[in-house]
Amino acid sequence: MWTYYRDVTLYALTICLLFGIASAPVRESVAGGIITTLVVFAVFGTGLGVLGFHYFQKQQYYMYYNLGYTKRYLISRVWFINFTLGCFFALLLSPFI
Amino acid sequence: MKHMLQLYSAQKSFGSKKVLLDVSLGLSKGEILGLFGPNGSGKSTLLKILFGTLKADAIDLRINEQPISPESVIPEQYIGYLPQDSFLPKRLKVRDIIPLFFEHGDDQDAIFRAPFVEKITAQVAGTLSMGELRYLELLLIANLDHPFLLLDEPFSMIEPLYKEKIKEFLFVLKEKKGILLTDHYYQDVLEVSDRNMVLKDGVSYPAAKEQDLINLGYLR
Repeated sequence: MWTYYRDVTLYALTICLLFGIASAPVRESVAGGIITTLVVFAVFGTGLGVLGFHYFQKQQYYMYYNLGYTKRYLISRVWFINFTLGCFFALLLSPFI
Repeated sequence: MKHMLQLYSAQKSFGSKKVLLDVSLGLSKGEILGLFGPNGSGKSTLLKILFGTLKADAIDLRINEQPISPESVIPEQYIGYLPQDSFLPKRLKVRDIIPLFFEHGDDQDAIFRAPFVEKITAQVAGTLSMGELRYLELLLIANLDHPFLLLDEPFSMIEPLYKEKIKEFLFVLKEKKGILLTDHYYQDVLEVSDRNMVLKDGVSYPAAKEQDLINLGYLR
């Protein structure tokens, strides 16, 4: 389960980081840009990470299936953790906008 | 105790192509059932349906005559499945992969002490030979608690040494599991199987020996 979380989240972080860097010129403040990136990560990051995992490591799902984890279970857990973390850090940074 | 897996009248189409028309099988603990069929006959499709990763158009799946939902196969760990393609994380070392499958030290030791495994524990999975990888994958899945096991081409592209090890392992393993095995290396399958069936035109037929495989058009 942890390896799935790590792999999906690495894809998610990479994509969201690239999004954050690409959108930096149109942001009014650094903190605002980071918060937007964190919100994108919290809401869409897991979905993007799952797409990355599906594209590069799809076959590994069979390892998790054999261990009793369905795709829905894996994705929902990762989404819940990343949503919570993304929102937490976004709220933490919100006073600096 | 789960000792009988039954599938009645499984059907599956992909668009207008009907792959499985009427497939039924029974698999008991303590036996190896060989499954044959030409490419595209639906063998892998059937295994994926049994494992619950592919939805059938119609299916009646039972364990000990009790109907079960295909969606419950994975979470309830009724069936283990060795797919055709390797599924282990290629960048992890073997010694780091084994604990992903088994939490307890004793269970891990059973794998670490298995023949051939000791010498590959420091290797990354991506660098293992096909035989080493297949054997390791089989060991990992077979030692989980599933009462039934589906093996999709465990002998394909395997060097003879590992093939023999896999056969020996299957003979031991069938004492505690029911095993459904499919492979084009039919002689290897016939060597280990107790019963056989052939998928032909979407229908399953029993086949007792090599001559039946000829009669059913799988061999010439």
